[in-house]
Order: sequence, then structure tokens, then C-alpha cells
Amino acid sequence: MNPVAESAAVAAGANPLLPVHGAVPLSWYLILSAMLFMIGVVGVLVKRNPIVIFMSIELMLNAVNLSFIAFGRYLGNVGGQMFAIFVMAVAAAEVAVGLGILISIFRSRENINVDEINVMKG
Amino acid sequence: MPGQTNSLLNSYIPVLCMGLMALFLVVVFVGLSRILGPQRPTPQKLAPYECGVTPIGSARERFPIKFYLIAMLFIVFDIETVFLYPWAATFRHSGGMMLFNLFEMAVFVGILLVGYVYVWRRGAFEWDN
Amino acid sequence: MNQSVLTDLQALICPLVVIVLGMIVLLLDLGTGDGPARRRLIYFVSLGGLVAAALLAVANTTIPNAGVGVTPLTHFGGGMVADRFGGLFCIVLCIIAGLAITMSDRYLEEKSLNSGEYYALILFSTSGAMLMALAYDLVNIFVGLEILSVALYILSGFARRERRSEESAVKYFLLGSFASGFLLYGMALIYGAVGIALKNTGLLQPTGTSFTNLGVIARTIQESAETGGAPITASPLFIAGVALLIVGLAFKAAIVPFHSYAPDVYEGAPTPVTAFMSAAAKVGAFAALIRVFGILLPADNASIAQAAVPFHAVLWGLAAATIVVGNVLAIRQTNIKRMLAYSSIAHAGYILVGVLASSVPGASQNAKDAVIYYLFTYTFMNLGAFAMVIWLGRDGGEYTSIADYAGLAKQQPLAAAAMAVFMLSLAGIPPAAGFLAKLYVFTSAVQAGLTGLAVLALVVSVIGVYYYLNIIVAMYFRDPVNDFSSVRAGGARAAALLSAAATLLFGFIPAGVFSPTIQRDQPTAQPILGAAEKSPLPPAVAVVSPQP
Repeated sequence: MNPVAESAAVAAGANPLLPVHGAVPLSWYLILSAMLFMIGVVGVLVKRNPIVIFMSIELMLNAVNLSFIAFGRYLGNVGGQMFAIFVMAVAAAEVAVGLGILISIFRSRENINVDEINVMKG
Repeated sequence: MPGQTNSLLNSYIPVLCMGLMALFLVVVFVGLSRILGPQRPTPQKLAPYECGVTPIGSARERFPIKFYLIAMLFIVFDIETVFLYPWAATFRHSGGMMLFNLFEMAVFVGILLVGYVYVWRRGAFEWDN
Repeated sequence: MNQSVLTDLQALICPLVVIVLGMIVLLLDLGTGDGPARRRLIYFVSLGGLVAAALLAVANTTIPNAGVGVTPLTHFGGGMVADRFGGLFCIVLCIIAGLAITMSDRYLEEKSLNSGEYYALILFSTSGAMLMALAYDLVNIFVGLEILSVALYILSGFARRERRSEESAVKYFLLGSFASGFLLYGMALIYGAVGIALKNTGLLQPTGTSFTNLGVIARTIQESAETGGAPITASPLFIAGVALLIVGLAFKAAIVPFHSYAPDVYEGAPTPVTAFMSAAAKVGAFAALIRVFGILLPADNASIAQAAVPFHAVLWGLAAATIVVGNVLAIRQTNIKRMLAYSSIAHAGYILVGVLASSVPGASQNAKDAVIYYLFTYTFMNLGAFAMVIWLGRDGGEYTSIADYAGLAKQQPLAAAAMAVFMLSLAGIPPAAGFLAKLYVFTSAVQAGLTGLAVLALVVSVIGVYYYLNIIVAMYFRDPVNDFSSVRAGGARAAALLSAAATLLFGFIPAGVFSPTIQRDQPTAQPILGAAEKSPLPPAVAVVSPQP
């Protein structure tokens, strides 16, 4: 983080989006976001239940949202929040479609372990 | 910057203390009753308590699929309202574009309405079949 | 104000028409008329609307491409752009959707699948890919990608009663949204990197400035290089962001090593859906890749180009790996849908060669044209090949094994001839359009200084000839094992014959607005990889080219 740039930007205007003095620094948010994202990635790679995998993917998306909002707040820019809203809407659409697919597969085979979804190979 | 970070951290110390106290008390009380209390288990005592009524089956029952359908529809239509908020927040600053912005939101709601009509006419809201 | 709103809408007319068409189709499906009549109505309304959308998009093809030195004509506050490049992609997408719908009629009937939802999903998906081609902001690229993908997830599981279809949907959905996560994280990092770079310049940006706008990003990169300090393209945030963005888009385009889902998904999805997604998802992803590369990895400034070198090297490797893996794994496939899946991976590799060339300023225009021409011809030959599979099926099933097609020429000479045209074109053998497409792409690669990659692609594509010719040999020189006397035909036959005619025709005559406008008097190309001088175009291309 660049303390000079930060204090200059804070002094530059009364932008309500800018962080207040003494707030949690940007890097903490970014580290948290990166950690959440990695937890999500590891979850996708090691879990076998599609619903848990999907929850891990949602965790990844929300980690990204945290990054967007932290950047937006740090920069005093609304773009980050807007992007996060779009991500939320898209994630909702994915939830609806994903659950629909998983329910239909669950109806037909009573078991939704990804290891057993393997009619096709090659 | 380090000064700011420290003052920020300092303000969280009371919260941390309270958390530790709460944890301590819980561990002590639960631990003491475990160690000191007499333990004579009977089947009646071990059964899950359901307001005095005899339990019927496991709580891990399957839900009818209808609940999922309603939940899915709820998520989709619920999240769409998230776009209304930024629109409403900026609407009053739209100046000469006010009428156009109103029209834009009408288009957005219109598209949602098409989806709603489709879901409705396809019978997704009918609970009984 | 109203004037600008109208021009904005006009620039986006093609995706708008397609989205509205999708909604109309959805509502028509609620009508109470009898089944077959309603099916036919929806079928022709969809096709008619797509023709109208394609004609409306032609107007945009006269606007010069956005790129280095050309200020793009942006719309909707800079979020969308209308240019020749986007217009041509929209037309290609209309053709893809049109062919996919045309070949679906009897297939859906035999499997008694709901046609209204199916056509509407195809149209929505198409509009998403169009938005990707017209987007000038990372937000819009993301939203377009998701509209494209979410509809494709449903479509790939559309034959709900079939295990393979379900399985294909689950795989595509889980891996697709996993890839979206990476793409999104990349966008977040780019947003932060650009915003921080602008903040460090000390100039106060309005709160509404979009740091994900490609124009703003291009300006920031330029300014950061001009101030003499380290350009933003060298900052770790930016590099990580671009890398993640490439992963996300490479997945959609099925580029090795992000291709592993493709064969399973293509095999399991209903055949017309496979045809549609093998082309539409690629077109959308490559449109976005070209657009994003030109901005994020510009090579016209020495200090910026330095930062772009590793990315170009990585993309070079991805293109080479994609071509080799796609072609080699296609050889041992016995299922025709899987074989076409691997072949489409190989074609993604050839297209990536063109995309890579398009980021070299001197070759940019030719390479973009070559990529569009490639995708245009690929649409006909690939969708045509899948249409053949549907045409020759019956009773709700298909012949998916390559051996099933033995002796086809004796029973259905026309079908065998059409299939032969597609296979020759996919292999890149001269009379068919696939040859010209490969020629244009490899020429532009040589022009961009990517001679090594072009030679590699050329050599490996010879392997492809083997497995494509394998099918032709089976059809013409083996004894029949199946009875093809009663086949499904219908729209699939129309789509296949139309595609075959187009594939042959565009191999001989130039394809109107799609034929590359070969430009000879361009600023000298600055090769990024290798030190090859700008190579003059071979005369053969100049002869074929209609607009010298």
C-alpha cells in the first residue's frame, strides 16, 4: 500500500465511498479474499458431492465480490459495487439452473456422487 | 499506516476479551457437570426430546421436490430486485434523462414479467400437482 | 440525448432482436393451439427472426474496427462498441443459431422435447455470445459469457430422460462455473490494478469512471508507459488478472489444458445442442479473447511489449498444445461425436494462432479478418457434420459410432457426398472452404512473425487428414452394416445440404463481407516472438482476395 497516495486521495475530496481514517487496510481484504478463493478452489478439487462442489464455487464468487468491493471502497469508485451486484445476479441464475440440474439427476439415480457420474469416458 | 492499524486493532481487544471469557465459562460449566454429575443413561433419557411426544422416525427426512422448485424461483426473482436499489439511488440525479431512466426500468421489469408469466402459465406455482 | 439513445440501440440491434425473439418464442409456447401447428409456428418465427437480425447486423460491418490508433465508436456510456468485427461476429452467430434450430425440428419431435423452451434457450444463448462480441467493458463480457453459458448448461441437459445428457449437463455446469470464478477473479484484479494505477497518477477520477472499461484500461496502460515508470502491465496484480482472465476464456473456447470437459459434454448433450455449442461458445470466447488481447497486451510500445512477452509465449504454447492434443486424441476415437469434439479442440488451436497474430499491430487487421473467416467457415463445416448425424438417425436415436457409417455411399449417395465435403473441409483440403480459412490464418501468422507456430500447425494438421479421411473411406469403400433406407431427414437434411453448399461455394468464391480484406501497405509488423521480418503475402492469397 502506498500511504502517500492514500492520504492524498482521502484529503482530495469528500467522496463518501472512500474509506474513513483508520479503516481496515486494503491488503487485509485482498488477503482474506484470496484465502476464501483458494478455499473454494480446494473445495471444488477435493469434494465429491456436486452440491458441496457448487457451494465451493459460490464461495469463490463471493471471494471475488469481496475483492471488488474492497477495491471499489479503496479507490472511491462505484464500479466495484456494480460489478459485485452483477456477480450476485449471475450467481443466483447459476444456483437456480445448477440446483435444477442436480435435482433432475438425483431423481433418476438417487445418488449424486461425482465419481459415479461416469457413463462416458475417454 | 502502522499507527492506524494499531489503533484499529486496539479497539477490537475488548471484543476478543469477551469472546475468551464466554468460551471459558462455557467450558467450565459443561466440563464440571460432565465430571461431577452422576451418569445413569436409560433408553428413555437418550431418546430425542420432542415436547413429550414419542419421536416418529428420523429428522433427516427428504423434502418434497416442490420446496426446491419454489426456492429456486424465489432466488431468481428475489435477486433481480438487487438492481432496483442502485437504480433508485441514482434516479433522482438523472436530470434530463429521468423519463428515459424510468422507461429503462420499465423494460427491466417487463422482462422479469415475461419470465413470471411463463413460470405461472407453466404451472410452477401450483402446489397440488 | 434521445438521438444518442437511438444510436445506442441501433448499435445493439442484433442482440436486442434476438433477445426479444427469444421472449416472443417463450410466450408463443404458452399458446393453446395444437402441438404440431404450434411447433411449426415457433420454428419459423425463430428462423425468420434470426434472418432479420442477421440483415440488421450487416449495417454495422462498415464501421472500422476498434483498435490501436482507431478511436472506437462506443455506446451505452462506453460499455458496448459497434464495429465491423462485432457486426461480423453477430452475423456468424445468427447463422449458427439458424442452422442449429433448422436441424432440431424432427429430433425434438421424436424425443418429445418441449420445442418452445429449446428454441428460446438457443436464442438467449446466442444473444449472450453477441454481447460478448460487442462488449467494451469487462462487466459486459462477463454478463454476456454467463448468458451464453447458463443457457448452454440447461440445453446440454435438455434430454432429461437420458443419463448421458444429465451427466453432460452436470459436468459442463460444474466446470463452467468453476472457470467463471477464475475469469471473475481476473477481472477483479485488473479492476484493482487499473484503479490503483490511476489513483497513483494523482489525477482524481470521477467516482463513476469504470476501471473495467477497455478504453479506460488502454488509456491507463498508455499513460503508465509514457510517464517513464514501470508500466501497469508489469504490475503483479495486472499480470495475475490477465492470466486468470485467459484461463476463464480458454475454458469456454476448449483450449488445452482446459479442454477436458469438451469430449464428455459434446458426446452426452443432444446432438443439435452439441452442434450449437461447439460453434457458439467458441465464437463468443474468441470474440472476447481478441477484443481483450488487443487492449490488455498491446505490442505497439516497447516497454509495454516487454511485459506482454511472457503472455505471448504462454499463448504460443497453448496454441501448439491445443493443435497437437486435439489432433492426436481425435485419431483413436470411435464415436463420431467425440471425434468431432477433439477435432473442434484442434480447430480452436488453429483459431488461437490467428488470435495470437491479431495482437501484433502490423498483422492485426489481417489476423482478425482471418479469424472471423475461419469461424465463419468452421460454422458451416462443423454444424454441417453434426447435422449429418441427426439426418441419418431415426426413431429418436443416432448412429454415433464411426463404423456405423460404413457403406453409406451405396444407400444414400447425397448424404455421403455432403459428409465427404465436411470432412475434406475440416481437414483443410483445397476445394473446400476449410482450406482457404487455414491459408488465411497461417498467412497472417507468418506476417505476424509466428512462422514457427504456423509451420507446426501446418505439419500437425496433416495428422487430421487421417481421421477425417477415415470416415470417407468407411462411407465409400466398406460394406454396409446398417440400413439407411429410412432416415430422419427433415430440417437436418436442409441444414446439412445448405452447409455443404456453403462450404463448397466459399471454397471457390469469396464470401462477401467475410472475405478478408488483405492489406499490404501496413506499418511494419514488429514480431514479438522470433525475429522474422514481415513476410510478403504469397501471391495465391492476393488472387483469391476480392478486394485488393
